[in-house]
Amino acid sequence: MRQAEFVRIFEENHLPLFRFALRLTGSAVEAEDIVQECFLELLRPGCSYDPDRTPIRTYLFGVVRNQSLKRLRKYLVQPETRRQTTPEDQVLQEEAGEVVEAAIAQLPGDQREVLILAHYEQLPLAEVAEIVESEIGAVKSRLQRARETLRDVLGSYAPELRQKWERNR
Amino acid sequence: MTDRELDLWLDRWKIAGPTGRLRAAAMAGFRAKERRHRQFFRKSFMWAAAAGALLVCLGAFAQNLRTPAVPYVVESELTTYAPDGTVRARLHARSVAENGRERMLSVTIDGDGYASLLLGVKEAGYALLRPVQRLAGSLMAGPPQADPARTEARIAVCGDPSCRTLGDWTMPVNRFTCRNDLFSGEETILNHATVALQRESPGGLRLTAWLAADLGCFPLRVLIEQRGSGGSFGVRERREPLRITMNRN
Repeated sequence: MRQAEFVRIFEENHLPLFRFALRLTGSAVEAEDIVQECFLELLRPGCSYDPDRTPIRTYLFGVVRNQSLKRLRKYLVQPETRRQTTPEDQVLQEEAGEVVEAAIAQLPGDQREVLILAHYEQLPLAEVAEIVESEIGAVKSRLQRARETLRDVLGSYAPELRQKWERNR
Repeated sequence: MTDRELDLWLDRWKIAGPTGRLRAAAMAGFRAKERRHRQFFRKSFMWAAAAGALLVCLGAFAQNLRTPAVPYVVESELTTYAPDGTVRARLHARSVAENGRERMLSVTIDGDGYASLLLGVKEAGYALLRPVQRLAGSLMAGPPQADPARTEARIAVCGDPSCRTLGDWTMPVNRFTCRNDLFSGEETILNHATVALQRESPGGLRLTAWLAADLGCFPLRVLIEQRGSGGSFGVRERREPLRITMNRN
């Protein structure tokens, strides 16, 4: 692979890959390491990437996912959560982002990754299914369950905050 | 909560981008890969060259194995003289016997300077080596064959291991006769018993060769003299052996 091609692939993909890794692991440092390893994997002799079979983005997301899961299993950690206060406190502090992050962190891993890929990275479900190495029907089901769980969790937070957001929109 | 409301909730989770460390690390990884790539090809080239050299050596070795071993190597000093007796050139030669003929492995010329080299080459080429080599080759040749190219100036051993019976070197091959009237003495040279044979050409050139029987009648010493107007002989070329290395294998 020539340098120009490598740079192009890096520029086109490193941001969504980093976001994906960060949302999965909850650690920016870990996410950077994972994305770096992902690109080094691309350079490794005997790399399994086959451009005729898989788009480069799908392949890279798959590598990031596997690396993230490996690290999560290794350290037996859940994504970082900062939610230790009451819902009312968080609402008052407008820490909605952290609330959402904490809620997503509580999801089962297979639902969390599908939600992140589908919602935050706006990937088609077929591509999500390829990345997580699952059937598209299972992906739809996981996504549906994740959204239902989040709807319940986030719905319990102060309704006034929701009204405030809607007013500010 | 509607789907739209849920999406709004989810969009509240924003994250910062990566630091510059990620880009730097990725590019450093690429440069390291390129470096490894170059080193790999460099090493591959070196290994290929080494393998090629090894194959060449093995080929040469195998060829040597197929070639009959040289039984001995004779190191000689060859000297050519001017009519007044002064030395014109001095050479050192290493010879081996090969298929009944003498083959020069190397010739080095004594003296210094380019002129000496040219003189030596000239002397070697036209005054000394040709007759000596021809004489030596003739002496070492086996029984005469029907070879029209070598009908003249040929001395051949007539299948006599004592080296005392030679062919008439002035006669054509088809009239070849063996004769043994050239004996002029015996001498031990460098621990090898030799038989000295002498012959004089109609032109007044007298050749004396000391043939070592245990070396296949190799002419260890050769003396070429020219008869002068007064009837006496003056040395024109001389070959003296310095060392004989026997190959025991």
